Amino acid sequence: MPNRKVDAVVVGSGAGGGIVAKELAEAGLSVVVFERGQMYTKADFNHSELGSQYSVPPAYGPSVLSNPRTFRYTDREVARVVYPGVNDEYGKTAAAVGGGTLAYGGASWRFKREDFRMKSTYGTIAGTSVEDWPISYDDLEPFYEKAEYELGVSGLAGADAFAEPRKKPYPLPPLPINPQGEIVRDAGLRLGWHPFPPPFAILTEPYKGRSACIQCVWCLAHACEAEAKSGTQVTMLPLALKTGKCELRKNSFVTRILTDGKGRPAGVQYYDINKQGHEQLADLIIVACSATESARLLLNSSGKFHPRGLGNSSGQVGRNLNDHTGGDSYGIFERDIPHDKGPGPSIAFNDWNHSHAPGIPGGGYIYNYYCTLPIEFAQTRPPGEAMWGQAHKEFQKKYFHRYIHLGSNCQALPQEKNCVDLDPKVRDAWGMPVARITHSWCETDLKIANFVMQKGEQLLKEAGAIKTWKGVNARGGVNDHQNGTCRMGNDPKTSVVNRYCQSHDLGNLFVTDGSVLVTDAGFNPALTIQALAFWAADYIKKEWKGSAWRNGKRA
Amino acid sequence: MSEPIDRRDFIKSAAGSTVAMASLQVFCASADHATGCKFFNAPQAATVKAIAERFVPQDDSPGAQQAGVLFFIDGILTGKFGRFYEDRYESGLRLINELSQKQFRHDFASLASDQQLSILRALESGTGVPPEGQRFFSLILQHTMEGYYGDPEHGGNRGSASWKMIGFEG
Repeated sequence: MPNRKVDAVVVGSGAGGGIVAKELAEAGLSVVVFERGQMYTKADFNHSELGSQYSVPPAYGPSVLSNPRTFRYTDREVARVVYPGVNDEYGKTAAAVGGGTLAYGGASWRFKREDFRMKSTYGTIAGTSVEDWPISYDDLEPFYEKAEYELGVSGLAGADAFAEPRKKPYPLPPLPINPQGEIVRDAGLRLGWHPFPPPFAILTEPYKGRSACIQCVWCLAHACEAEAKSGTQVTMLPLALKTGKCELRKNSFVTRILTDGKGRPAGVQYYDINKQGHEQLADLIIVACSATESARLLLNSSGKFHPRGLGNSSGQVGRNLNDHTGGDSYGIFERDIPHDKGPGPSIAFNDWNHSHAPGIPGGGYIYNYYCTLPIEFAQTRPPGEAMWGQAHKEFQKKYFHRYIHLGSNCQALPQEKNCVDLDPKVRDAWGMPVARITHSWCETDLKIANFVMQKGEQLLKEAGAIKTWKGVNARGGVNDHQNGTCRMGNDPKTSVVNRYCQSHDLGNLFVTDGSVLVTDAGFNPALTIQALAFWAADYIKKEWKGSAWRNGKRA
Repeated sequence: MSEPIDRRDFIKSAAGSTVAMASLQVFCASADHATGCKFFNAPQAATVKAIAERFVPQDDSPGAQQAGVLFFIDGILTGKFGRFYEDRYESGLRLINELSQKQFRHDFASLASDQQLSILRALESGTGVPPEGQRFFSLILQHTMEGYYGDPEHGGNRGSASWKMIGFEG
């Protein structure tokens, strides 16, 4: 039996999709949310370094063999096949109900004013496609607040000396400061820096029927059995379903957006768990399946009216694929520093995010990292130190509890040549062309990362580390902060969606995930994606009436 | 954990995609497995065991051998995703024994410990060995560390020996 037509289809149940689905369903629209992954429950969760989202197979999808991609650093190479978990360049985003927010680390930052005005702040940067956003921090502020309250974000208002103004405090107090945090806080104060407890979508008190963090050491890349991590699967989707207006169609992979006789999006084609093909018609199509997959879906939906892909008259769909460079600094100490209280991060510094040091556009925050785990530590050594053998074992014994790892997410600059397009040969298990990823970081990206990591080393030295070293950046490849493939902008010739995440070409097509980010800031992107999803949903709710726009314009 | 599409479906769907097919090899079971192994034959198992023990030697706490690293790696190779590593182990172990024969006239497992160390150092630095030798070194080192320091439920780290050694309570 054919599916009944609905008001809106949302493709993807993660940070962006989960929110739009809930907002539209509560506003009375009939919604179907498509999720290619499954619904995981507590029985599927584990405490294991070998069973995490970073393992083979990734604990929460995508299924390895069905979902190859291809990867190359530059378009001068032939792309090689890469698989989830097996190849780092593939990216680490889960494919599950809740999307990336099921097993993420929960960092929930607001971007800074400069992050929306990178071109105005730093000028044109050669070799990059840095632009200003069509919206400002002030536009997004109410929606940041909405996201923090609806999801449950812990933090301390006013504690970050460099944060932009906010109207309300955080709904929950910050995570407790652990011994590593105390050490780096005190060292930072001695250096004249500005320590503060960073914001996390991790509950520190019971909130909206969920319980507080149990402080286990397995947070990052693991799903939370206490449901203290505020992923959309435990926050937005239950509310969406409660309205009775929303259906979650999991294990269902959307392969194409369908268009009507005039080239207007009219629904989606999808395959269920038994690989049976179906259609779902809808008036509104909201694409939110991650920067890589959203671009691929639009490109795979080409047709007579849209030879270059849906919503791609600009040729920009898939361009400017971006992800953060890491930025790790490590130090070993002569005294024990317990790290048995999770999640780990408890003190951060924004002194080196837009510090305007010469030649450093943007920057990144620094924070004490998630609790160190044994395999991870075995693979982390200062340059020149043995990676195996008796000396390696001695190091493991001596320093596992005498170690601090500082992390960062350093701003990387968008480049048009970094992109997602369709691989000419390789197809997935549904017969669809896979995403071909072309990505490498530019010299400035690595300069920014090195600058921030050096600051991290300075902090560790001040804290008394007997030896410090930096993490090594890979050459390229997406990780779990992929963004930028359907950038927002005012000019339909140079951007894919407008300031409301609405396709310039097709009024009933929206993109509400990391794809729309113009630049990626020195912060984790989740809260900004979520604020943008509330912002886009607000626009749809105000402007959409029945099956047409309120202003009478055809969709 | 999630693998709804089985391998037969995948092969079918990947047909016509030469790049994907090239990375896959059909696993052929052979009869002469080493004791307790389902992938390695006896000489391969001896080589893996010797390499892993050099990576994590026994001292006052167990080494890789006692922690069951061989069986952990064998488990990877016979597991659902073993096909990503089978070829690399077969050719990597062959290469290491060829190097050992060439330099010291014995298979790796029969060499004196300083000879074994010299072979492993050459592989690690890529000195006088083909690039795939260096890549295999990284792979078996990674698998050894995973087997020794990972969750005992995955077949290595028997008796949680490494966790006890470093004071990790999980």
